[in-house]
Parts: sequence; structure tokens; C-alpha cells
Amino acid sequence: MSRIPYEIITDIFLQLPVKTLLRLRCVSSYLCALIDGLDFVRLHLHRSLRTKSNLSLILHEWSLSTVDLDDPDSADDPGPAAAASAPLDHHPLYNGGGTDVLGSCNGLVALRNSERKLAFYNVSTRKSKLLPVSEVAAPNGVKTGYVFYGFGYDSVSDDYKLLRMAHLVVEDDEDDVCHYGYQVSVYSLRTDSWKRIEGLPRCLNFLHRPFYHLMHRRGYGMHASGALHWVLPQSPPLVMEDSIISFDLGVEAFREIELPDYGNRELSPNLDLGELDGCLCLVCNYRSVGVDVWMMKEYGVKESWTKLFTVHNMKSVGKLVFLRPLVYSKDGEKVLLEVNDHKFVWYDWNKKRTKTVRIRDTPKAFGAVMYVSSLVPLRDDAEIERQQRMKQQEEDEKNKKSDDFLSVGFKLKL
Amino acid sequence: MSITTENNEKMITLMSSDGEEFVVEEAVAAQSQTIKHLIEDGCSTEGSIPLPNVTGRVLSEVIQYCKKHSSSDDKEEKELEAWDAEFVKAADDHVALTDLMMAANFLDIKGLLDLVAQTLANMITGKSPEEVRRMWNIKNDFTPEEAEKVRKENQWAFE
Repeated sequence: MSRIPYEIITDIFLQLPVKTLLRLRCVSSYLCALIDGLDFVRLHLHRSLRTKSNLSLILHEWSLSTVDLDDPDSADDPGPAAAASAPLDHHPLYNGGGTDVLGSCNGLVALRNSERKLAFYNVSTRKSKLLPVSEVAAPNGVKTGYVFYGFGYDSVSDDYKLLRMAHLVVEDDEDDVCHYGYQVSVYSLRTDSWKRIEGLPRCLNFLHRPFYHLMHRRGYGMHASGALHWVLPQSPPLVMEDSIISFDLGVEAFREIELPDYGNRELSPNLDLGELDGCLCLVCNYRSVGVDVWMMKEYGVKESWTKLFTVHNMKSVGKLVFLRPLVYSKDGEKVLLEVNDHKFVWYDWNKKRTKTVRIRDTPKAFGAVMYVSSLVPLRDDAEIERQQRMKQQEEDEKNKKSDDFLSVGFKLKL
Repeated sequence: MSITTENNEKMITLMSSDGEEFVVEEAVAAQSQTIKHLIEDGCSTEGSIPLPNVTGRVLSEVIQYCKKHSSSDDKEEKELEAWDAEFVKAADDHVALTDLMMAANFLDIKGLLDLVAQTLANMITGKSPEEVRRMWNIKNDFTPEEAEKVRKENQWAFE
């Protein structure tokens, strides 16, 4: 057989899972450079997103676990029906439990143990970056209340960012908590620093904790089209329209996104957000009736909101308290739904058929985050430290040598 | 050289690197973007189209694939998938598949390229670096120290 051209190897390698690629870095220096190359990393990621391959779920309860969605998808029609979960215990904040997943994007996840312990982590390459601590600067007598986070990618400056919105509250003499305001900062991986965001919109004051207090829906921003999104809940006494507040990670500014005319507002559905194929989705839950899922096909254009499908109450699930679309199936005919914090269901909206995904060893209730396995690099803290140590050693060695040389020189002179 | 069949299909002749000639319908050969462009540029009027990078054995497989894919329409997707699976299974080992992939690359047949790439990818998922080196005659140019360092960077992936 003649020598295999590297462009062919590239075509083959693009279809490999990340773990195999990490092993194959050892084949030769050329292949190592190929796999580490940012072009390859980008192509591999885009292929995974396009073909819906290399996808996994992270389930978060007290501890974290992962579920590989790839294997079962090759199983019979109508799509994947069984999978196993594995504990995610190799992340940098691992401490037995209590770690939250703030968001997931391009293979990286943002993790939180506390406001001072935050990290970015590539689950598939196991490289991590601990975020520097940035204190919330509250005036005297003002305390930090609930903290909202959002994680995403800024394609303008090819950067991953974490948004933190700290709710500031004042306690009065009767221990009642009053709203004071918000303090918003954004962390940039590229600059490895936090920056305060000024000029907050007034509507941000309506973002309150109770709405987001339901289990596992702790108000982490929904990432789509380079921005983070939160539903601003209805406030009946204020007679204001529902809306979505978004934070554009490129220009680092807030704006409001108009909702579709989703119909029966008298039924006052619970509104929630999701993301499919990079587009923002609105989930209108009419509780006992069913759930409508809308998609904003062209970002920021109200007229582009399209109703994708309606899910009626399912016998196997009971009342739909919470439902969120996670991902389309490979053939594009089904969608994976997270239902009531304890179930995954493949829904075929043409045939109106559902199929429950059985996952072994899952917690009773969980929140779920989709992630795509990628090679997106994070400058690993441990590695940087190791490199710095090695560099230091080399320099010490060099200095020692030149010292020796000098002292020899001096001796000669003396 | 162009012949026309009873069905009024234009035929062209492809010549492999080892001089084997294949007469195929133009629509079949045009599954290859490379050949399609050669036809468009009028390179086939002089005689047969020479394909210096493809042996007769490989070319006959490629033509088999192109025939199947030019005669099927979208409705038969399921059947076509099954046929594809059988087709790569027949090629069997990685040497034959790599040859096929190189031909698909040269002839620019996207569907075939993806199909064979996926098959080869499935083959090497789970293989060790040593096995992959052997498979494609790739020289290990790392010094033992470098090799150890690269391996250590992702030690867990070997466990």
C-alpha cells in the first residue's frame, strides 16, 4: 500500500471520538500537531454539531454524572432507548458533591461550588481552568442575595465568557429582605479577568429568585446565538408583558427579545427557554393541557418565531410540570425532551409518538445539560504550573552553569 | 469517445492506471466531481479518460458504488444504507478501504468518501497508537522522552 496522504487521515480522524484522538496524538509528531491544531479542533466540533454525534448529557443532582448519547443512537428505530450513566468525578472542583453546572458550550462546561470556586472544564479532554476570585462589592448594609450565572461563547473575539448577576438585597429591622439592585460582571477566558458591566436595564429588576427557585432550574442563562437569555416573569400587579432579557456576549450589553404571539395568555402558561440547533426556543407550558415549543429561527426577529410542535400530556409521564427540548435526533425526525426533572423522552412530532430513554443508575431527580464532546483547548492550570516549574528549573540550571563558568573565570583571573 | 446506448444515454470510457477500460454511462461517471469537470472541459472527446491514480480493481468498486447511487432516488434511502453497509463490508480490510478512500478523494465523490471514512474511523476507534502506526506504515518520530511526555498529557485516555 502506498503511503497514506494526510488529508485522508484528516477526513478519517474528524469522525473519531475525542478519547481516541487523545490516544492517537502519540502516533507521530505530525498527527499530534494535526489533532492539536485549531483548524482540526474547529472542524471536528462543527462536524459533531452538524451530525449530532459525540453528544452527551450531564445530569446534576448532588453529584454529577454523564450519559453518552452516541452509542444508543445506532440502536433500532425509533431511536435510542437505553443508556448508562457514569459518575463525573474527575472535574477540578470535585469534592464528593455539591457542584453545579452553570452552562455548557462547544464541549466546555462552567462549574460552580461557591461564588469563589468557579471553573471551566473540558469534560472530554479533562483540561480545566479555575477562575480568579472576584468579590461582589456591596455597599455597607447591603448583602448579596441570589446569584445568576450564564456561560457561553463570544464568536466576535473567539472567547468563552461567564456572566454573573448578583442580586443585592437589604435586610430591614424585621429581617425582611428588600431588593436593592444588581451587580453584573463578566469573566473572559481570553483575558483571564472579570469586568463590571454598567448601564443595567431597568427590566433586570424584575428578575427575581422565586421564579427560578424550582429544583434544578436555578436561573442559569440559556445560551443561543452568542447571547444568554432569561425569561422575565410575569408580574401581574405591574401589568407588564412577558419578555426575554438577553445579554450579548460579543458587545457585552443587555437587550430585550420580543416573544411570539403565542396565543392564549389568559391560560397564563409557564414560560421557559431552551435551545435547538443553535436557535433560541420558548417553551409554553399550559400545565394540564400540554406544552408548545416555539423556535426563533432568525435571531432577534420577532416574526421568525415558529411553533415547532405541541406535546400533549403523556400517560407515561403524567402532568407536564417541566419540559425542555434538548437536541434533535440524527435523522431530524425526533427531539429529545427533558421532562419533569426525572425523565428523558424521544418525541416524534409527526407520528406523535414518545419513547422513554431508560438510563441505568440515574438519580431520582436531576437537571440535565447537553454537551458536545470536543477538543476545544483550555490552558490547563496544572499543566501551566508544571511548565513554569520546568522552565524555572532550566533557568536555574543555566544560571548555575554560568555562575560556575564565571567563578571559574574569576578564579583564573585571581 | 462518446457512444450512445439504446436509451440515449451517453457513454464514456474510463481507463485505470493499469490500463483496464470501463465503459459507463456519463451520469454514473459524473458522480465523481473530478470526472464531471473533465467532461465539462471537453477532455473526454479525444478518447477515454485516463485515471492514473486508480487501479482497475479499485475503479471497478468505485463504479459499482456510483451505479447504485445514480440509479436510486431518495425514497430508497433505507435500502441504499443497507447496500452501503454491505459494500464496505465486502471491501473488508483497511488496506482495501484506504485504497478506496484515496480513489474517492482523487475522484471527489463525497458520499463514498464519507462512507469509507466512517468505516475506517469505526475500525480505529479503540486501537492503540502502535496498531494505527502498523496499519498505515506511519513512522514514530518521537524520541522516547517526547513519547512519554505526550502520553502523560492524557494518561487517563489509555486506561
